[in-house]
Amino acid sequence: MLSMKKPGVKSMGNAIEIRGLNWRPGKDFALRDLNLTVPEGAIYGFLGPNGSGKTSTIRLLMGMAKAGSGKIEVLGGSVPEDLRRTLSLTGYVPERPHLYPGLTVRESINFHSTFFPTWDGGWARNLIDSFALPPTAKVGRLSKGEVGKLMMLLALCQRPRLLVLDEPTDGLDPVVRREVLTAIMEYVSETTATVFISSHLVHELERFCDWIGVLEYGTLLTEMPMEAFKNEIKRLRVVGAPQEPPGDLPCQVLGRHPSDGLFTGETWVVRGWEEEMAACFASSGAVVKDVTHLDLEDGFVELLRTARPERWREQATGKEV
Amino acid sequence: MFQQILFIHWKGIRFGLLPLMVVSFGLPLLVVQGLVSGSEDPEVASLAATGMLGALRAWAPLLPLIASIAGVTLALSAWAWDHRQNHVYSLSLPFARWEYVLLKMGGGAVLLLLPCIAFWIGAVLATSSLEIPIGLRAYPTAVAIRFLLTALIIYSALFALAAGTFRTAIWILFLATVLLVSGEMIFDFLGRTIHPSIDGFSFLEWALDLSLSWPGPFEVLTGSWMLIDV
Repeated sequence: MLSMKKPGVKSMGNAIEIRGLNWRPGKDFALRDLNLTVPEGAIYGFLGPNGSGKTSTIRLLMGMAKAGSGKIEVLGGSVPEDLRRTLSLTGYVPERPHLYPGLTVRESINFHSTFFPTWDGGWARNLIDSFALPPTAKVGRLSKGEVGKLMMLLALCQRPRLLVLDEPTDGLDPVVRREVLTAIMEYVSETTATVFISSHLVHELERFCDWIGVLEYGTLLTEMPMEAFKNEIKRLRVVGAPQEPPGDLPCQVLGRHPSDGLFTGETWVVRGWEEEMAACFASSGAVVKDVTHLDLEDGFVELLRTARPERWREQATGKEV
Repeated sequence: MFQQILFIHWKGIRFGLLPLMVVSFGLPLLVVQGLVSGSEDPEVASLAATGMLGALRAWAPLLPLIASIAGVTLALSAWAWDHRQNHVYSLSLPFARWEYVLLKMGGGAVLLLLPCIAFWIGAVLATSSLEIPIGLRAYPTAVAIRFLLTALIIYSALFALAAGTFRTAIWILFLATVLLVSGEMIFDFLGRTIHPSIDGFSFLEWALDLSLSWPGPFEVLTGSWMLIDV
């Protein structure tokens, strides 16, 4: 992990708390009873496939849309009641470029800095140099990477307590992506800022997030520290697997399928596995030959694989989703 | 903050605003071109005055038109960049929405002063370049104020309409049209069937009259636009 938290810095509370959030923008999609907690000082990866509701959640956090019901608190202030205060403490990089296209880089920085009393002009000048941004070029004529870097510069130089980044590196080349992520990590390493970053680029989040939340079709499937998530989902190789999972098996079976290659048994993907659970298999005559740790991407895919059939079943039976 | 809001509006509209200022400045000068000035001979002076008033009356509709164009241009340009980015940037700034709208509106109003001042200077120069016939007076400042008020009213109405989404604007215009047309039809029906006393009453004409005469919001458009009058 690239996480570079200041040693000794303790989390003081929650930077973001969402409770019972419901929002339905149209007929097909809804955020349903969303509960989400981002501890202060965390780098929280908000993971989900395209169309899962990540951007919608962020828009609600930023007060750009009004929830049907539920409670949103950002840095101790309610949204939208204390929106002005929360926005003044939040650096935001949206999914799509949002800057005024007719302004130059320098004018955009001047414009943005006016609204934030904590603006760090010296750092902005440094970042212009290190990001190699052309100060007199119009925003509308910048490349995608340059716009991404400019948006990140604006968000960082506010010196926010919370960074809300909506797929900030999507579509950027690896060099620019690394520059942007490095700037974020440098900022986080010297402050206690919280980062809430949404992405579907799993490997990117795995590298530097310490918390993870997985959203699928408006529902939060799981939310936990990154290490716990990675340790929780395992792949088992089972020989002589019973038709039904052992009744006393205390972990959740996410999937099972015949193994390929030389191995003759079955491959099971389970959640909440503990070593002593192998005894449950033994009681039904099965043997657990091998236990593999899954990386974030594999765990994420397995989690979605189990969540999706449930959703399809709900849709097929006409149950509201 | 206001300075920055003003700056981005200026940056977005500057190429449209400069020709507007030129036209606003030049129009009064153009209006008085070829007008015959006063004379010692009362008969000639009377003829000159009549000719002058006739010529000015012919040009008069252009003045509110230019003022309206200034208002429309400033109003639409105020939201152009925000619309293009779905207002995401402005909504992410630490501002109450009403505060941001007021700053935007104020910025546009300040920029609107530029063509109005250009018009006033043009009107003063135009009227001072003439020898005004006896019995007539020049009203450059009064017409310039009327120009400013017209531009401001058109600007405010369009600014409010343009602040929402395109769909909202279409809905508002659609509902206004439905209201006017259905009002006309209802009164026409009532006049022909139930109340013959209101037969001949036109709802459309009434609504138009209401908005174009005092204290209607667009009364300023229909007043005197004569740079020189009795």
